[in-house]
Amino acid sequence: MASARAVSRALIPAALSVALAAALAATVALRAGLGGERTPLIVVAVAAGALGVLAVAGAVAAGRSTSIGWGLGLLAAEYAVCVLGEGRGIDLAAPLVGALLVITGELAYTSCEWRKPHAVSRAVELRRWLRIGAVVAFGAVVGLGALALTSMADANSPAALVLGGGCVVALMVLVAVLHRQV
Amino acid sequence: MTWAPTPRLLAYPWLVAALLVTAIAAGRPELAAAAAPLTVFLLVGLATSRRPQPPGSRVCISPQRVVEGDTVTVTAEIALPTELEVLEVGLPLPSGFQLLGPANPTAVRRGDGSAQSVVFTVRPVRWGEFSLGDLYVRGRDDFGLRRFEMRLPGQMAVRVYPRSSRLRTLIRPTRTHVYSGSRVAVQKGEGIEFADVRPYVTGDLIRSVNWRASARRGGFWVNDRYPERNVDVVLLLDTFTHLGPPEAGTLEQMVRGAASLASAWLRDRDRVGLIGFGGILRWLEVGGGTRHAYQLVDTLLDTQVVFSYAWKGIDLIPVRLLPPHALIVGVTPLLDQRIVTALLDLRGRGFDLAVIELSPTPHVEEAGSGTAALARRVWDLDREVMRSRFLRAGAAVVPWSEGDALEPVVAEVELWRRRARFRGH
Repeated sequence: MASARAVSRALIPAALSVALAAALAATVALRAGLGGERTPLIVVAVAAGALGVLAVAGAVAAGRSTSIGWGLGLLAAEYAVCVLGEGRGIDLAAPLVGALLVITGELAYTSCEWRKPHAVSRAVELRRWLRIGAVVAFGAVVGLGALALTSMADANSPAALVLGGGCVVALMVLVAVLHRQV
Repeated sequence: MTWAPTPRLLAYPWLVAALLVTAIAAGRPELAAAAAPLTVFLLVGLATSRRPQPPGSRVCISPQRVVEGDTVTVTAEIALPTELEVLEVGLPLPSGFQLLGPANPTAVRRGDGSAQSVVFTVRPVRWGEFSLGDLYVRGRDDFGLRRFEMRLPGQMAVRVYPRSSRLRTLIRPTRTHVYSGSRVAVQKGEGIEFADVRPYVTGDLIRSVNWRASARRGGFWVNDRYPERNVDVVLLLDTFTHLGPPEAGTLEQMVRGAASLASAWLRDRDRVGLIGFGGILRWLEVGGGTRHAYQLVDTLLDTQVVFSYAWKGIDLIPVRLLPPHALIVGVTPLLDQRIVTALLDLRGRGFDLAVIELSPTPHVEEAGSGTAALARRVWDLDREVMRSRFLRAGAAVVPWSEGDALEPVVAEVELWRRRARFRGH
């Protein structure tokens, strides 16, 4: 059983993760609404976003870290539906959405870990968050670079499709190899 | 040792794959851009994650023999693996131990030295023999993608002796033994306590002459004295039943009481024996001295309630455990008919008997109304009848409630026995 101190300490990342998820879902939905999206798509996006926020909130409330992935997936689905329905130019805020997804996930996972008996070293935890921030910022820059690259080339050409598909497969293979490496 | 993926590593790759595949399928680079921070996080995290070497550890427990309420220090020296920056060290505590500090688990950071020390201070709140010293360590890689867990064996036995209260009053047996001790014998002989004066007979020592009485009465009169002798006491512990919570039930109270009584009698050079009468019969023959005192406390630590339906009478108790003229002190909640019958049988066979009743009332729920209240009244009356059977048989029965001092209970037993002697029981 988790102690009262552990539960109260876990409240801060839990509240932050839920707030961040809600802000992300609301911003994406508002932007889609202001952009004159088709109503059925907006409804689907808002529903996915709301379910995502609920999944994250439920996961941190119950301390079940396995449900956080579903919440993040639903938030990503909301953004994907909005992007697919938009049909206009490239959304430059995409890397920011990805970065916020990572931060939301990390906060939620941290909250679930802190629900159980644990020991925290403040200095180590601070270094970990600085490391996460740096990596996520770098990832956002990479995402922006990818967007810039695709804006210059014809993204719908067969060559780009093959190149993109190859990159995805290579990336997933790399992740799988690193995953297996102990 | 466990080196397993955390829920992050189970969720993030699927999310990345879903975003990238959707981006390719729909031809929307924004989705790939949204996946970029997650992908970089995953790649960097996996690339920097290294399986750690098992940490070295050394555990020291001091002291390993304590009395309830004392503090025990568990010092663990952990050599952190180079792959981990911080390690959580947890000490699993058996029930009956309280942690005084620091937090459990405690974070140990990789410092300058090769090994880091963690000192846990714990307090045993219940007597018994416990295993302590196993450590659980937990760590994770820099991005929390993989978790490291391991149990470091360092188990040691810690014996916690019951805290005995110092008794000034003790139950005085009716008959003493021939060995010298601290109890005033009933028979007259060589001793210190004055008994009577009688006329001088040949062979009496001159120093025994009472000159004042001789001058007043004429002729020689000498003092008679009571010699100081020791007694045999057998503590009969009821291990048929247990009532109450694990730290403050009748079994714990019984062992504490028996330890107090035994140490008080042994201090006065009496001989004490022990019989655990229950599902399993355990015993320690009567004996005296320091070695016997340690044996007795060790036997008390092994006392436990073993449930049994089998009928057990005093014919199961080896004869040598019940020396003639021994005082038998039953310490029991008087809840099992077998112990009641055994005690009355012993009294019927002429043994000097006193019963300290471990009051079960604090552990019994208050009856509400109606049938429950009626049942409670019948139960109380039944217990009253049982007590009166003991009193009619000439054995004192005094209740002792958990949390109360033992001294007044022993004093009451002694008072009842003194009155009974006057009444001619």
